[in-house]
Amino acid sequence: MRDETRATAGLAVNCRRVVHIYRGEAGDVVALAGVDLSIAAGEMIALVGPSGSGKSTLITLLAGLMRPSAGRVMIGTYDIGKLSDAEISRLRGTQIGVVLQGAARNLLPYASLSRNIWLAQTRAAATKGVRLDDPERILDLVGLGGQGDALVGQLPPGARQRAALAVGIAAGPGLLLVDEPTSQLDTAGRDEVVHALETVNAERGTTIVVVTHDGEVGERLGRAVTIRDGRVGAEGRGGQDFAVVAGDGTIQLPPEVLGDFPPGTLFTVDRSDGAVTLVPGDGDGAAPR
Amino acid sequence: MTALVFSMLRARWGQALTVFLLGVVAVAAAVAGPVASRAAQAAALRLEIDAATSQERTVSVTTSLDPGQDGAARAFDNVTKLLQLPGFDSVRGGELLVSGPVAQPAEVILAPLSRLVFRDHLCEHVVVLSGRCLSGSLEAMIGEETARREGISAGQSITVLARKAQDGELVSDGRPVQLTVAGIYRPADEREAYWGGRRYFSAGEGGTDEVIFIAPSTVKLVEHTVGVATLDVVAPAPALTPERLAALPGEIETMRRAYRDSYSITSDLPALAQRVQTGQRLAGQLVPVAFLPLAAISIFAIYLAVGYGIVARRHELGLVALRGVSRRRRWLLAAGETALPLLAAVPVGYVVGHLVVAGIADLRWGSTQGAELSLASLPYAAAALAVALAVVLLGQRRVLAQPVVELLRGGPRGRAAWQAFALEALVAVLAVVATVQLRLAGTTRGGAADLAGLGLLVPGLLTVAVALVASRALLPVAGLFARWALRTGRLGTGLAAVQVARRPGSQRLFVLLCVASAMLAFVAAGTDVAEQAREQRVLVQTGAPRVVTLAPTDPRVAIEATHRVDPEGAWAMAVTTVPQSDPDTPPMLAVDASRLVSVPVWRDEYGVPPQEVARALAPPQQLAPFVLTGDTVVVEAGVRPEPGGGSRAPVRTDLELEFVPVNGLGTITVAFRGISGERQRWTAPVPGCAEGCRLTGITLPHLTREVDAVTVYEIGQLGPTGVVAPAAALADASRWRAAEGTSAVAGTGALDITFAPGLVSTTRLRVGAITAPSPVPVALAGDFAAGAVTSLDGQRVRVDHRLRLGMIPRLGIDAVLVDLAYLEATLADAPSRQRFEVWLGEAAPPDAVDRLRDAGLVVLDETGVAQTRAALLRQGPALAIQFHAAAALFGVLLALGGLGLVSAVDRRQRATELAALRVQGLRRRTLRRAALWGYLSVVVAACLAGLGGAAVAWAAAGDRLPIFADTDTVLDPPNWPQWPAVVGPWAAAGAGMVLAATLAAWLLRRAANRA
Repeated sequence: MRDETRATAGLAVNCRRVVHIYRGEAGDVVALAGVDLSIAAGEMIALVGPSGSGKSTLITLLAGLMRPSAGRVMIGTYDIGKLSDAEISRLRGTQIGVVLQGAARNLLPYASLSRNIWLAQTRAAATKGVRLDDPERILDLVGLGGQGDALVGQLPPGARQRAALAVGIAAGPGLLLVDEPTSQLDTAGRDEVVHALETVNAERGTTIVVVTHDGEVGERLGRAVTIRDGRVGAEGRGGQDFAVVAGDGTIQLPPEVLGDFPPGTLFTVDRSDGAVTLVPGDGDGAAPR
Repeated sequence: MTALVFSMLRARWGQALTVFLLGVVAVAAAVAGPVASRAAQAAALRLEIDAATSQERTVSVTTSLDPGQDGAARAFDNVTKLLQLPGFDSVRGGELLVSGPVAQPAEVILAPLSRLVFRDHLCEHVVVLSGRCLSGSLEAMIGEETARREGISAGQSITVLARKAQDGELVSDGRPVQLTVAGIYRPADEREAYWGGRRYFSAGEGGTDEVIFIAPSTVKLVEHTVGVATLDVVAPAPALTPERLAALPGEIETMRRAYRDSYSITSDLPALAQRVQTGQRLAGQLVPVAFLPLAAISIFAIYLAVGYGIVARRHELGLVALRGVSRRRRWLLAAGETALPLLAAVPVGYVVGHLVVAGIADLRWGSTQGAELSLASLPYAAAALAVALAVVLLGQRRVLAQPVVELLRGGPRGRAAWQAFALEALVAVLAVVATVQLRLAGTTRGGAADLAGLGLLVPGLLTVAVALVASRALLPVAGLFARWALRTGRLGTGLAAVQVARRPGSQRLFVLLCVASAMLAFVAAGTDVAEQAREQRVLVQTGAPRVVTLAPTDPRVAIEATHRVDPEGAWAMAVTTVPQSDPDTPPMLAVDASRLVSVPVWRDEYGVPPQEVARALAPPQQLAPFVLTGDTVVVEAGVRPEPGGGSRAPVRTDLELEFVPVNGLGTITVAFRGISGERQRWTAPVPGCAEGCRLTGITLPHLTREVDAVTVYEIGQLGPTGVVAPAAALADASRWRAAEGTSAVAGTGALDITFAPGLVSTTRLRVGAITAPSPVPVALAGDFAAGAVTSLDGQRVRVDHRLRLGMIPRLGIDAVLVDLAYLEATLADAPSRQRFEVWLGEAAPPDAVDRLRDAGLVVLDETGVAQTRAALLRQGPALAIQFHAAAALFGVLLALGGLGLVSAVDRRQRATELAALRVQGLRRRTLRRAALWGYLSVVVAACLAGLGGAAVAWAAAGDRLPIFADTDTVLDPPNWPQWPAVVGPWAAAGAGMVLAATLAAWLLRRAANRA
């Protein structure tokens, strides 16, 4: 559980009926079919789901790298769809940190860790009123203290991922988006990375969104949102899984239930005593089986 | 930021080094153009001045010598004050015409002519062979030839007698004077500028012998009334700077006009100045043409390198954008990695450009003048840097403008932008406009079109345009071939074609290779055509391997002398160009046609074998000459007075008969003064005709209007008695030819000589006794159709067009050729003395010129094929073409570098792909083919397109490129090169590119095997 008393410096995220369509020569692909998602400032969540479910698309939209085809993406008070390229660039340089999948892809291979952090801070450093931690402090935060002069190629895999995290938080963003930070890491490495994320969240109150296939990462972060077929299908909180009612009233059944009741199955909806019961029927007025 | 850029440079030092080297080449090429232009201009100046004769570097002033003055002390006081030519050396002198020297005073009257000459600083310029140099009055130095001939030695006494021309004859101009021979001399250097081009040692045009040097103080001691004072103002080579050469003609003309009443001022300096300025102007125009394409190629190679580099850094650039780094910083980061090597390349390229030009200049001309390191070319280096930086920004602009997500994903780049198409269209339009401008510009035969403006860039623009158009077809054709090859199971070539079709830089690499190949082929064509044109001009306009120029003489002398030294006709031929009075008549070359087969260089362009020409021109059975063998000539003639003259006194007139010895030289004129009466016999002695003298003409030198006609009835001889020209011959009109103004009526049993109708201005009538019938057979080149030409005597003579040639030796495509002997045999009047040449064939002995001198000919100069060729090679266009060749070679090296760059950038990804295919079963042989043809196909296509581009450029501009700096050529130079001269260098360059492609393929295979 998140410590309610900690000062929140993070940004809240709100997605309302977000749709994104990729237009290509072979045809249009609906990557997101109406995502409703709210993330509180300072919250840590994991985005989980099968490949092609739309997780990476959603995180790309949250990073301002693309604009949604429909719907609204709010980062704090900023409506991503209404910002210009220059404003989004400034936002990414000050408020939104992004850690790409594959640690090495986040770092300039020929520059030291300190230099990489410095580069990531240039935009924020030029902004009035922004106070930045020096690179050594940031490296301490992710457990890489004293390695400012190291090149990414000199670090073990787990350390590389933490170095990527350091670059991601270098400008002191309110929102940190991390894509598969624990893939190709062993358990120890995974734990180091998750610990680093928790530390950042605890000390800075940064809102953290992590895309991951690893269910344990989702559990440790406290909230896991499942994206399926371009929608938010379920959420896991405090070890319990919940289906989520979408903005249009739809609800996604868990996969194990969907197996018994394929698409097209008719249900009657009974509501009583604060609970909702779905009873399958055959559509001709007959009583449920 | 700077630290980050340096980190980038360290990490990617290979690309940085590539950009640095390309930058060096670009700056060097940009700088080399103006430097080479200066060097070529300096070479044009230096070579022409070094080769200039002393006459061409001298201003000669002549005036009358005051007999009473000591030398020329005062003759040039005014002139030397006003002839202010800084840096010039002045040499004062003077001449007296004398007969002598002779050892016996009594022989001086009949002695050959010579000149007494004095000059400042004489002793420094002669070699004393015996005795000593002059030191005082009444001393003389005689030449070694004169000393040998007359048997005179140092210390001996000689006698000379001043002569002067009076009434057309040379008469004594004082009393004989005795001089003491102080020494025998030989000139230290007959051709040095000190002598001012005056002919002291090979005899003057008046036929005088080797001169006798005296001290100025001796002049007034030699009785004379007529003498010449001379002042030679000689320019040493360093004084002839371009600025001085430009100003001198005007200064000389001003002096000439100012002093025309007092002095005769002559100089060939204006001609030298004109030649130098033309050569320099052409060198200045042509040389940059060589380096502009090279600079453009290197800039393009930079664009290629930057383009490749930026593609490889897309993720990195995306990452920087992802971090929200400002646009300005992102541009600086991207450009900085390229800009720093370019900036570093500027000073290196600046020096390299100078060194390369200096190296070429030193190698070709033995001097680096004009190529010294200076700041003069800085603007060009700055321009090259600016263009290179602009190219860098252009090359990265498209990538930096891509969305961040595309940079991060490494997704496909957009299709070729409209900007690229617009640029190609612009180049094509420029090429067309420039070509049209060049074609419309005026051109002189063998000279330059006006190459100003866009026309200068035509060859480069056309080759680039062809390359760009051809490159458009590369990808579609490669794609089509790939589909076909893969469908038909040709995996290796199919994979290669796929690589060509999809590799981002295939088109640009193609353009680079194509332009380099085209440039080399174009330059090879230009070099070959220039070489052909020079060789043609050298051989045609020189005429023979060696050409000896004689002092003015008459045709019989020239023919007789050459026949005497070369009786078989194997190596010597008398030649003269006969001036034409009618401007519509082309120039006429009179040659001893019997030697046409053995002496001149006979070219295929002439069109007819020399034997056939000689047969057509050779005189037929000649008419029997009128020959006198006695010691007295008898003429039976009568003078018919003008009817109604009114005078009772008998009308008298003079009559002259002219003879030439049958076996000798010279003219014997027998004068009959005051003949009169109806028909009388007149006699006159004729010495020296015992072996026969041929009658050449009858002259009435002073005929007045009181005389209606002079009739010659018979010409005979005494001692022994005989008939020279019987009445029947005198009455035969075919034996006589009247000069202009003369009417000779034959056929009344005598020859009537009278004024031609309507002519009132002459008193001299002349009838020539001809020994060959008219009309004179001629051979023609060109469109001349008239029936008469001007002959050696200045009279018009009818001609018979016997043959048509493609060209006439020496005179080219618009000229007339005639047999000298035939022409001489049909003269109506005495031939005027004119410049003759003796052409010496390949078989001429080394001492041929000495033999001609021994035969009595006065040799003024000698030249030949070698000297003419050297003179043409000194001209601006010939100098410029050498830089063109160097630039083309560098272009090929650049193209090879570009190929290496592309293959290096390609290698990692391509190796990974091929390795993956190997794992899936791709055979080694197929991999080899795929690797090889991925590069070889582009090389082959580019080379073939390059040859086509060169052909297009040549067809459009080849005939407009200048070959000669002057307009003295009388030929149309060839337009097209000989194909081996083009294909050879092109194939060699192609072989180099094939080798580079093969090496790239081998490196790729090795990388694939290791991946």
